[in-house]
Amino acid sequence: MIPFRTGIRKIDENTGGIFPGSNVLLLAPPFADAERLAISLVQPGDSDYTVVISTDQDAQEIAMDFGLPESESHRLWIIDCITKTMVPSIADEEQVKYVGSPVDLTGMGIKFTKILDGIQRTEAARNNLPGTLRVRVCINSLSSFLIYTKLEVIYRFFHILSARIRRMNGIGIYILNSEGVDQKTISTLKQLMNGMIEVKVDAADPMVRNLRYQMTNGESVPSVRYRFSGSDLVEEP
Amino acid sequence: MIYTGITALDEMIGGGVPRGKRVLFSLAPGVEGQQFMFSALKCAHSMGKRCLVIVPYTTAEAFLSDLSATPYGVEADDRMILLDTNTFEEIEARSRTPEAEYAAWEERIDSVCGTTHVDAVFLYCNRLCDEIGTEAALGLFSGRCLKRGATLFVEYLNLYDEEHLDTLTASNPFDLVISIGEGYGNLLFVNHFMVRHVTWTSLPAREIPYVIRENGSVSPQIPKIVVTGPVDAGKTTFIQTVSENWVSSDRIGISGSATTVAMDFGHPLVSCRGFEITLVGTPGQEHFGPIINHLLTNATGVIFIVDGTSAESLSRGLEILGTVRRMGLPFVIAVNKREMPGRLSDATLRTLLHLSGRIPLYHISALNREEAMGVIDALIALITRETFTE
Repeated sequence: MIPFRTGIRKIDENTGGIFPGSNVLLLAPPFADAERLAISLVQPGDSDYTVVISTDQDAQEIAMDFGLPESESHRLWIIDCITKTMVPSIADEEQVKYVGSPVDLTGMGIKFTKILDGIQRTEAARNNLPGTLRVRVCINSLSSFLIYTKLEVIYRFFHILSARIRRMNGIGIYILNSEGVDQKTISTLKQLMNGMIEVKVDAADPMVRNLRYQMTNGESVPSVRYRFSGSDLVEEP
Repeated sequence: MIYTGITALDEMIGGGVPRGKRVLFSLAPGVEGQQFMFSALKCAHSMGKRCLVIVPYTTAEAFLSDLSATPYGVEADDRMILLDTNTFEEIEARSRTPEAEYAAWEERIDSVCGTTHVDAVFLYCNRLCDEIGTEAALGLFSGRCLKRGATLFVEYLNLYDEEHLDTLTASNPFDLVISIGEGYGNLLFVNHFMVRHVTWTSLPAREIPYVIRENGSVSPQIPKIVVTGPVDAGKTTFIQTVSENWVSSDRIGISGSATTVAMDFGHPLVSCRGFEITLVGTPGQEHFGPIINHLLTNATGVIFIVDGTSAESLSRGLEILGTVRRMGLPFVIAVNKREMPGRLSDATLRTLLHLSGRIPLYHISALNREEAMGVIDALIALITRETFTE
């Protein structure tokens, strides 16, 4: 199976990318641009699709942040958990589904299933040969889910979702604010993952971040220094 | 009585949900099954019942908007009382402990039910369970509904397993427990529901497949009824009689008459007992035995047709019936050519096919649609409501 390229040179060169079937916790403090990093990691490649489950940004913002050209826009699918609270009558679109709130785990699960069906149909309509879909999933963010719902329920829900991602050989990136939760919560959620990206703000330069990439299979990249220039991730020497 | 509005389910449970009963729809994650509760709500409202709907996960407007995007849309009127996320957050904000929150909910429910009679309560319980505990949340509504004779419908997202559901229903008794899950046998594109427990009638716990139609409605399915039996029994005629669309693979045989060489396929004209059904017909000749075995694999039920005027065909019939029995498939026996002379007696048929007196014989003309549909109806009743023992 071909790993998913991350767009981060050091990770891709050292490990080949994130191996299919991986669930990765992206642990970052506030104001560390975790969302931008996550978007960079789940940017759909030439042959894959991205699903974003968002409790922090609405669908329009997400689409803008991804900035995909029209010809590639079919690769981005979104479950928007916030817009419906403000616009109750908003209706699902082909690539954007809405749920009532971040506590609507029933709706979220159903919409996720529908999106996977939709992606499959899109692939078929483009006359691509049937095969395993390559799907990158971004959860933005676990921290927000934990505001509304107890850890045990969140753990169970994402246990099922992460197993699904593993079974379909996709990858999942789960954003968690490292300062918003206690160590027990982090340890619990880590049980769902087989990798972690830990982000820290560089002590010398607040615009520079430092990430550590560690997978449970032993692959690791101890340090990547980077900054964002617009939406581009620029690696520092 | 409140109908669930899903004909097949209503048929199975004896028409609908009697007044004052408690119903649990347990959904597996990711499975599109919210329509069961939507449909019951729509029916209750259409029947003129006053409904209290507790939707802590969303706003009333968003909930009604979601409903209106399905065939189960309802108008917000004075017979529809909604307690939504705003109520939940208001109670949560002023309650310091789960006990205080429980008391606040008690007070709110009593206040609503005290000012107006409520016939049915529809509870989306997960958020409340998360907040005050599952037992407390369900007990809060269950006890009140029992006392006031209101029918209770609960939707529960089961993030655990079937054992968890058993534990939950052991501590919070329900009169009807329906679990809704993913897939059906090797058919991954359909989901299933199962009546796990019902207090007012007797039903085996059996998975019933369904699909969600394009318009968002629930359509229970019997995905594969195999019509089999010896050659010239009338299998193809049976399928053609009951089907709106059918495909046959008949070719002229050695005898000069048409015979099926691969399979027949048909969709009946009407749904039967609320089910959409698909019929698959087998060839009957001995050398097609391997095909018959393949076609019987994963069948939901079998209609076994014999020519009621031909004793000599029954030895071949017995072989095919043996295969059906070995696979443990539910089957009914249709004795065709009722209108022809020289019919065999029931006793002869039973002897030659090794049938006990408990197995009914349906004497039909495969050309008569009503009689043929009666056989399908009997099989569906057997599949959904009875045990398969001979």
